[in-house]
Amino acid sequence: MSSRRNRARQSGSSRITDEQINDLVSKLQSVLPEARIRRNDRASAAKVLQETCNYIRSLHREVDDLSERLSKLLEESSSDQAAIIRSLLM
Amino acid sequence: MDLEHSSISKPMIMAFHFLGALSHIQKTTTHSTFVCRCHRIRCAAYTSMALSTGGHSAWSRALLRGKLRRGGLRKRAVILQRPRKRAVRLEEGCQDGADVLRRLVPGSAGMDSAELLDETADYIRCLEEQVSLMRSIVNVVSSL
Repeated sequence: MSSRRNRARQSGSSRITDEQINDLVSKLQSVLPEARIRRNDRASAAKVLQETCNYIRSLHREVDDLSERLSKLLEESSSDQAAIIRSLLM
Repeated sequence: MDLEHSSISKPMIMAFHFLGALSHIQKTTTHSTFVCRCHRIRCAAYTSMALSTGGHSAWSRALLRGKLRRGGLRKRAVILQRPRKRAVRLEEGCQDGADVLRRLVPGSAGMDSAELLDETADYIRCLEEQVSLMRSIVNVVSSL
């Protein structure tokens, strides 16, 4: 692949950065939950990135969903709830 | 809660900010629409997330900058120009994935791949904490 040839030209430093990339990719892989990617099978960087994007999107959706539920709960509650929420801070 | 090791932990800072914001929203949105309240809660979630990291990561600074701009406060945008390292390239097939990631993680548009991966891991960890905080609040309030 031509990209490999180019990397070989800048030999010393590019070897280090490739390792760096691999470390970062595996660090990212470790942050993903077990169910998404099989950890023993070291997946390609592309797969890890794809799973990461899906995971971030699902986390955004969860935040939206939880915001809606909280909004409903605050609406339904009486004014005492404000005091209760404040007491949660103590 | 074990406070022996650190004075105030990150999840506690996040909880403090978020609960304070919720209490304020509760008081000021009695006559607002559901959508409006929902939007404010969502904004409060991302803001408390960003505040809890203390501005160490680019995504938190980007979130807070966005919030300040929307609030009408014009702070002078300090763009930190880091010395441009030779851009680290991922494998050929990954560039699309990296671009999608840059759209998802706030403030990551100008980053090279190494920084991007770092920011993403940090962002995901904070998002998970925020989600678990919100889940516990929902459980507590709905069981009252």
